[in-house]
Amino acid sequence: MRILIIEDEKKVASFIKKGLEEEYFAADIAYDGREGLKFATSEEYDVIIMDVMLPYMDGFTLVKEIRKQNILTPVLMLTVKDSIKDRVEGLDSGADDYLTKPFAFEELIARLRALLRRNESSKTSKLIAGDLVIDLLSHKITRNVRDIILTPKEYAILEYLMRNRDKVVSRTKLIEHVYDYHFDTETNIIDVYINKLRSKIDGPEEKPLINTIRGVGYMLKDDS
Amino acid sequence: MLGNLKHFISSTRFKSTLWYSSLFLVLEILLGIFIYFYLYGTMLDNLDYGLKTQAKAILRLVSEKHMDIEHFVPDSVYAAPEDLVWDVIYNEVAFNLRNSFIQINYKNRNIFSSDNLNDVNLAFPRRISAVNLFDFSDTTLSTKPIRCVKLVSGDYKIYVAFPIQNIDQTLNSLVHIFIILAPIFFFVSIIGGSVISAKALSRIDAIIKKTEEITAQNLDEKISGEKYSDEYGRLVKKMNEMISRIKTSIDYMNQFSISAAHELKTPLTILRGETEIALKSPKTPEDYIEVLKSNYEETIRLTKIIDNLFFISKIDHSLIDIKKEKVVIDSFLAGIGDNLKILGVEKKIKLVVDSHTHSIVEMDKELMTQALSNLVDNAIKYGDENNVVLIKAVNCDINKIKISVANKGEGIPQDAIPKIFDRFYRVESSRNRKTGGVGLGLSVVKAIVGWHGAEIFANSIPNSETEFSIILNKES
Repeated sequence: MRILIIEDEKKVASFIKKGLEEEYFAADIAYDGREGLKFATSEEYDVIIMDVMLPYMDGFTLVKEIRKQNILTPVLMLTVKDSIKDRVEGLDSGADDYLTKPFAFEELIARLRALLRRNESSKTSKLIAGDLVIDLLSHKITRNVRDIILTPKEYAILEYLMRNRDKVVSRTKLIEHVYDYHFDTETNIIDVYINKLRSKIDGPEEKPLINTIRGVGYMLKDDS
Repeated sequence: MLGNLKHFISSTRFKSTLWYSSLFLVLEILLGIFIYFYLYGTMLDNLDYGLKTQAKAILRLVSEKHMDIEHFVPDSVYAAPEDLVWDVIYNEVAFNLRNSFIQINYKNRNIFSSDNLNDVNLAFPRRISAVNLFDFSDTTLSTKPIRCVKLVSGDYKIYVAFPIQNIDQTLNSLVHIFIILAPIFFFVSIIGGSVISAKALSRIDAIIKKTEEITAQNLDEKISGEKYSDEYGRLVKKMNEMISRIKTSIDYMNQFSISAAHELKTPLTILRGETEIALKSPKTPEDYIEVLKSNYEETIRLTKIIDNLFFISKIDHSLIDIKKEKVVIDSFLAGIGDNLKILGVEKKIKLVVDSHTHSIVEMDKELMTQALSNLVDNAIKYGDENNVVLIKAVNCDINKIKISVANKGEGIPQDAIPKIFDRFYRVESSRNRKTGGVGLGLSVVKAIVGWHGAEIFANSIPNSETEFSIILNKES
């Protein structure tokens, strides 16, 4: 899952990014409204976290601008302004959630998960495909009672495939959602990770879950 | 219900009506008393005049007749002296004051008593002064109060009396009229007063109703009725002016507390967030050191914000003592230059002092040092690297001196210049805090400068030079 953080306070942006990475998210940072708009419109993100008081363009205007360009990425607003008027204005401008500073990081993560769940049919904290289960809270992966240990990147790739199960996901899309902005999309690193993933999740007697769609990308099939 | 009654009794409307009606009642009673005595006096005068006239007439008749009372001899016409006298005064008595009592004494002998006296003696022993021929007396005649006059002339003493019952009756009816009318008047005046004062005070009620509605949330609403030029209109106008002054202060306070909260919340967010992430999972010692370093910086920032807020609130409440002393500007600025040199080291900015004014200024050295430090700190923060920050003093005229702090750099946008002295204001591009400011420095400077009766100006040429100048009064 790839997150855009738009926050002018460098230290805040940096600890959010750090915390998100520990939770297997990839994150980009924009330090002002203009930069944020550029990132949000040129890259694809799963969630945007933004401060309200930003240089050059405030959060409310920024959300409106993003929505005007038909980008429906969930937006979580982060601000010190906690009056009801500000919350209402934030949500009305097109934001999906509102969190006031100082906040507990756990809450930020929980709200992010809730925003990510919105686009899915199942409203649980678990992703299930056949006998493979990912617990999004504990990051535990099990298949047929067997625990699977994954590296953060492998986990991120698997999670994205699971979220888009039964859909073809291109390599570019995977890179975009798993890596941050500074990653070179021309490498074959995804193929390497897919191979590692396959060897970890598919036991000897089990049906392979990740299928290669030649020339396009990968698809995780949920046959259950 | 009882509450309403209590409310009504304590209302100005009720009180003023009661006062007004009571006053009215007192006036009515006074008028009654006055009329009573005036009427009594007049009626008594009239009666006395009638008695006097009759007494005189009787005296004239009896003395003209030259009756020989002493050697009276009864004959067929007059059986007694009474008959003789009666004959003489008959006309007078019969046609003037009827019902009057008449007694005539001759040489202290009663020679005539009118029939209605029934042998009562009217004579009263009071002596008559030489000046006043008449003497009056109030007495009673078989329980009937009467007014009696005595006229003394030669051997004759004429007594004429008349019941004063009539006067008493008239006056009693007058008293009755007043006793009946007083409560009616009082009642009518209360009703009338209530109606009139209700009308006059209805606008006060409207004002009360409106003021009850006004709270901190709707201070932009006005009390209506400002258009009238009477007392109420003026009251409403003054109240509205007061409301708008309160609104200005409340708005300012709200803005200030929001800004203060914002400034305090940012370092708190960092402290909390970084610590939480650090504790989430095991890290390398280097990571922990980095977090501790950053937290240390943030606690310093918090302290700085709180210090500045305290300073500003002290200024707002005039709690700072200014200790003015004579300061030699040239050496003062050189000292500041020496002390602040270190601030420029990181950005390789050289701090240059150019002051050869030979001037002395009376000022609080400590506060002015803080003001200039803030300006130099800003100049270095927003100045270009490898450049110069210049502290310069020049004599403007005999009693003014200009101290300026200038740097080379990005500068301040023209439209932002009027706002830079506002609390918590920060030019947009400077808000990413690589400069670490809290937006209070310049408002502190402005406050200090203002306290010295001096002025401060900012001039900025974008991407070239920015200069802050303080114009101070100097010792001439």
